[in-house]
Amino acid sequence: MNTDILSQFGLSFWSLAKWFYVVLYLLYFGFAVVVGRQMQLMHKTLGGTGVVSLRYLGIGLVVVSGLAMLLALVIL
Amino acid sequence: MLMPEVFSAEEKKEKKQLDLTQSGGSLSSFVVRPKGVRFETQDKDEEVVLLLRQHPVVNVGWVISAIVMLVLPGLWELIPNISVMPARFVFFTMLFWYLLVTAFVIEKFLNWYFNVYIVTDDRIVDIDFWGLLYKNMTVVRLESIEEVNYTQAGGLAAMFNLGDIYIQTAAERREAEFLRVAQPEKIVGIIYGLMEKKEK
Repeated sequence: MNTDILSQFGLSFWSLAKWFYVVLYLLYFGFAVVVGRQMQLMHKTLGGTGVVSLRYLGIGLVVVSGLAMLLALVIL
Repeated sequence: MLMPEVFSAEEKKEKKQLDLTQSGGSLSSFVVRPKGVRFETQDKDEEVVLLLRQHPVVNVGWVISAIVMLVLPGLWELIPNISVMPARFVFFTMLFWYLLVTAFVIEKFLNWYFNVYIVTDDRIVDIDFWGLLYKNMTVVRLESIEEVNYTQAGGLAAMFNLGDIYIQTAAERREAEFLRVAQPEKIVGIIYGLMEKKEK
């Protein structure tokens, strides 16, 4: 990538890379939401299998991915 | 004298095959009379006799893949010119990689854990989840079953006593399949026992 062109617009390669990472984490967050929702539906289809923590695993994944996205936004 | 022995052997075999003592834990692939398990369309007085999953050995492939994926970041230094990447980008790249591995493991585990085969005292239910977005539930009533067959093929099947069970009704196409389940002979015996009990 020609960094001279970027610097003309006040951008740097790493500032663009930051937004690439943020988008990646945003996509992952969306994926985590779908997985969490699917785990809820799975529990509705087949409940009482004894592993209650699976339900909270979905919630945990959404929370962790959301936090990671926010961290990427702030730190990068 | 041979005939009575055959009949008594059959009766003993029936009783043995209908041995429905509660067994199996929450991560088992063969659970008899599972406690507290209910599925979506279950009737109030319907009892779950068997809760089956594919034999745990089917998970070996993705477990090995996950271990390799966990170890791969150790080869980070081998990537050419990687030292120009700022430390915070290295951190977030690693973090994203491990989140990907986590998602891979969770998806594979859920796929195994929730793809179940249920045998109740009234019907047979095959619940399939494909990927994340597709769910299929096949239900076959015990009284409509014509044949229950099973096959065991290959070294893995012989070593771990796993096989495929095919349930046939009067319909032209095969109605339900239990793939790569443990102890297929015992499962077929239990299904036949339940069918006979239903007829009486």
